[in-house]
Amino acid sequence: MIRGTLTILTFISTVLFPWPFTAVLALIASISEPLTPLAVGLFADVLYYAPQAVALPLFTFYGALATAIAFFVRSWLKASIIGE
Amino acid sequence: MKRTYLAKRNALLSSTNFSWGAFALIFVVFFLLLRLFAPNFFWNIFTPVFQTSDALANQSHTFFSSFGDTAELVLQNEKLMNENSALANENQALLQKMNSLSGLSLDDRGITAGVVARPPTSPYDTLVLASGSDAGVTVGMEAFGEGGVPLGIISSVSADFSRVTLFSAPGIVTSGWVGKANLPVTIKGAGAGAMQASVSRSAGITVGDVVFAPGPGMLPIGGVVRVDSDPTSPSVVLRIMPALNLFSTTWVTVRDTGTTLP
Repeated sequence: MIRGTLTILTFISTVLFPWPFTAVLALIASISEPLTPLAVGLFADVLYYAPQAVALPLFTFYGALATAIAFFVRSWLKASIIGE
Repeated sequence: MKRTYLAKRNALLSSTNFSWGAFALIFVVFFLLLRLFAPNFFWNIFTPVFQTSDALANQSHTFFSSFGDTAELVLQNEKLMNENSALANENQALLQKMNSLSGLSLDDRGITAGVVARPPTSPYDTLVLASGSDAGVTVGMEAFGEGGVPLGIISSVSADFSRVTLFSAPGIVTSGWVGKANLPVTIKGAGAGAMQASVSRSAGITVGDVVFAPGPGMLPIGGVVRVDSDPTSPSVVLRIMPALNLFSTTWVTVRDTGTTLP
């Protein structure tokens, strides 16, 4: 339930709060839900991205990066003695 | 007797196996497709969301402002009202002079459009306007804020909505002038509502100098708030803030000035 609440809160934050706050929430959510930063980054770009202003959809890029790191950390923890 | 457990009985609905992130990703891809193939419908859905966001931001600002010193606020309010009255009179006089000089009709004043989303929720320095092609807005038109301050260029249009890429957006380059000597400069967008320009050290540009952009005449686009100088370089970097607070812009005027995005 907490995982779901955190994911929904991160999405709401994309619209209501400044992006640094959303970024922090997405990073916290990535601990339990690694796909959340990618989803939120994509959502921010769906709402705000303007190709005339920036060539690269930055939020999707950073979201994908955070998701990749989160998956890597999780797989590393599972393989290590902590995951046993 | 050995008991058997059906651990995966409701695996699809199990809270441990259900991925909120994957669900969110599917949800977002749906909105992405909606924005790509039905942008007008997409903005119609999200306009009430942005309006709620604005209302919430205004209410929280009012709440936090109420903690301020009342006496000081009353004095400040009185001072601002006097200034506002003086500026309104001056503006009226200038408007009359401008109309008599150029014979501008009301139609030349452009299309007034409400702002749906603005920089605090638009990290790419864009504004989303509640007027689109149905109201006569076309790509390449210039958006002006209160007092005729140039803000940006219309970069995309749907039937009921349009998007303005602000001059402060990273990668946007505008030609203009700075200072009392009207020194030509190339103004570059720096993101988050800020701009920058590079001029020769000997030009003597100081903090507070006004930066102008071309339009119908010279229009104030912002002011120099900081001058960064490197002793080894013959030039200085001017940090420019817009003349209008982009974070509280509620409406803009859109008109065709022949300007284009690079």
